[in-house]
Amino acid sequence: MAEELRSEEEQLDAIKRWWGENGKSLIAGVVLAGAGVFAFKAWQNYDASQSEAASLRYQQLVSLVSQPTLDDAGTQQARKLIGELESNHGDSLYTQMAHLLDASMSVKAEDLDMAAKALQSVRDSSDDSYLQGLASLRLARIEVGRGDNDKALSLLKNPPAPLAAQAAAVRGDALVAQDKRDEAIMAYQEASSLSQQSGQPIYGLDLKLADLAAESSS
Amino acid sequence: MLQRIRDRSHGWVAKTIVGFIVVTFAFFGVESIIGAFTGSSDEVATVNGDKISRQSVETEVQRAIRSGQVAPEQEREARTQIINQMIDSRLLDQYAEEGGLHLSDAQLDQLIVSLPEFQDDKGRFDADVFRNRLASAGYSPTSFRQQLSSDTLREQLRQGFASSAFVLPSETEALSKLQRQTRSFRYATLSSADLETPVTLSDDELTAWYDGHQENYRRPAQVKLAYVLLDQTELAEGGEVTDETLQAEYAAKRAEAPREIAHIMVEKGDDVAASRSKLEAAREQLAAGEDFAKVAESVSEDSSTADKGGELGVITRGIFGEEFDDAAFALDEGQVSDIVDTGDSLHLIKVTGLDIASFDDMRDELLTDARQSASRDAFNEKAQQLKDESFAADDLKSVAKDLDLPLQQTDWVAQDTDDALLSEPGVMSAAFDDEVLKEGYNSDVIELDDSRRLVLRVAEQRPATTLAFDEVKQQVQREATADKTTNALKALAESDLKTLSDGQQVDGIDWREAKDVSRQADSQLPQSLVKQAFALAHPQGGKSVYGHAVLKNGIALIELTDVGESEPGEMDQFLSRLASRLQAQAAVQGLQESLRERADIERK
Repeated sequence: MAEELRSEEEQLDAIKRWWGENGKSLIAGVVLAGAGVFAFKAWQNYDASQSEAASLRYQQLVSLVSQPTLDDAGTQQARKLIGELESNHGDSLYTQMAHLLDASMSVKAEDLDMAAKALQSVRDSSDDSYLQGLASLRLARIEVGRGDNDKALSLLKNPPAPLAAQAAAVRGDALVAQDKRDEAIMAYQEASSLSQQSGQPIYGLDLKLADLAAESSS
Repeated sequence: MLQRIRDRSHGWVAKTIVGFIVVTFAFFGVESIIGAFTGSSDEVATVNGDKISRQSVETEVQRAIRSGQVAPEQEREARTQIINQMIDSRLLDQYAEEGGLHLSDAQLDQLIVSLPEFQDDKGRFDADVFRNRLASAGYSPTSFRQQLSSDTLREQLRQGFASSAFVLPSETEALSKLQRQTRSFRYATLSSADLETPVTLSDDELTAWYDGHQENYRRPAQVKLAYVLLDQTELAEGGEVTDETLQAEYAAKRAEAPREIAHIMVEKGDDVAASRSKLEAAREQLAAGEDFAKVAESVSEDSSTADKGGELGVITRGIFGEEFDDAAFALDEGQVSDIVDTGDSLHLIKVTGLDIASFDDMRDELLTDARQSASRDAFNEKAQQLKDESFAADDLKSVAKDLDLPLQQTDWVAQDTDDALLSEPGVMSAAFDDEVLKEGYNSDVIELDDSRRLVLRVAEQRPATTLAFDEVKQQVQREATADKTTNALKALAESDLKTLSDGQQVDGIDWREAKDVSRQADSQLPQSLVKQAFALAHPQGGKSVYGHAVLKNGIALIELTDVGESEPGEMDQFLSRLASRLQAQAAVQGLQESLRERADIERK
């Protein structure tokens, strides 16, 4: 074992040589790691305070929207909060939910165009299939209300499974508006059987089916 | 044991183990070691890799039982439900976190302070109330904050998805119009008398009906049971009760009866001896015949009773402490106690009245009680005997004979019998238990309630079967005839309707008018008739629409003449609220469902 026999001096030399070769990169590595940890911590803090701000704004919006009637000042305040959420926390779920609340607020104020815009922005920005489906379903209902039944039908293609029954029911409404009785009956019947499977009742389906005299045609 | 470990701890294996434990404790704490051994069985489910521990489920179950939401005997079903709820909640928590929902400590503080549950009567947050409330609900402040935080975030989700549900005015309007719709029609009923020839059935038709409707003629598995019923109320009769027994019972009741009490109280103060001698003096005065009320007025330091003769009112045990009670309940009416020391004060107690009826008034009640308690002993003895003998015996007859009880026999009964006794919980399940049904043993003793025991045995049994045609011929005849009659009437109705739609008359039809009928049918019209009238197509261009409805005994022809609408009422608001609530519910249920669908959930 020759190495064991080397003198202390030789060992010291070896260490110095190694340091000379690797010292700089080692220090750089430590510094980099330190900076990384620091930045991560700082980002975490920033992220938490961002989320907190979003949470507060959302909470304020909810308490505004849940009032039975909203005066002009209230509406403006709500719009301001929605705008702030959108520009500061665009990719937060808070913003998506704020758009949903915006839509219901606009429906209450009988501003269907505004409601449609709010729901469209959820469709544009969310990557969550359920949330998208929910926004599409609600938008489709507004389109039926505005008389654009073709647009409604195209929005109702491929809904997420949990919303399939409701989507079929709205499809029926759009088809009735287009005077397509037989197709409407089929859509309502599909909605009825899906809603029975899932145990989620949809109000008025039986009435609509009976009114189309569904039984006497089948 | 410890010595042995010490002896062997010199070996390198032991040193390694000890070293491992030291290091693990130092870095990770005790739980990590315990967790390492119990970890595998300690979780009930994982949700996207997130564990739900058995302990947390247990805590929730206990909390639900303590709060009365779950009866203790339903614990098992409740546990499954609670696990499902916890999985659902966890999914929402994860969804909220992914979406960047967040609640800061400051927000949480503010929320806690604002909760009315933690406020004093002036509406201010009270730390003591907070701690007590948490403790009684089984939370630590940390675990409560955690729970509150995730509850609040889930509530934010609910608000976003559910509170944003809306119903368009046009949608409400459409529904309301349908609800308010009225229909005017006339109708005529056809019954078997309207058929040209009455319905007859050939033997072949009957057999065919029987073959096609076997499920109507099925009989479930049945048994004939023999049983012995021990009933305490039947033992209660007879048995002599002497007057002495009743007197003793009455004395015992009297000793524990609520008492009307008066007292003279002296505070112990610093000089106990002085207080005591003050009361001694009062006692002597009373012994000399002085009136209790007068002495109380001059001596008693209980300012609230001193001028009212010392009267405290009626007491039962447990109000004034053990010493006071013992003294008071040792006295009879009119007697005065020795000095009683209740810790802070000294008392002389007088019983001024007893809250109990006279012996003569209570005689009947006492007699019933005495007989009951005598029969209770007899019952317990017999119940034990029933248990021992029915377990040992090969039959039930000898058991009945030994206990001097009748051996009862039932007719054929199925498991879902509606016999009053046999349908009591536990009876038929015992009869269909393998040991009883297949092996032929006596059943265990079934405790029907506190005062009734039953043992049964299967005397005869027959399996589920489809009854032979001959056994059910009458039923077949009845059902097949009804069916054929309905079909014949339908055919008649169809032909009549065709004639009518062609614009011709049908002779001998007795039309009745029904004008502006609403869906919430008036009670005179059969429900199925109204339902059918509303399921017909709208008449176009003044041309009636025809249909028929199947009634209980016949068929109704319907001629729908007009569709109208009643005045809008308060219905619209109700409709819109109902529809919006269903929308909201569906949005949240849908979210939950879609999360469940996407998740990786493992149940252990």
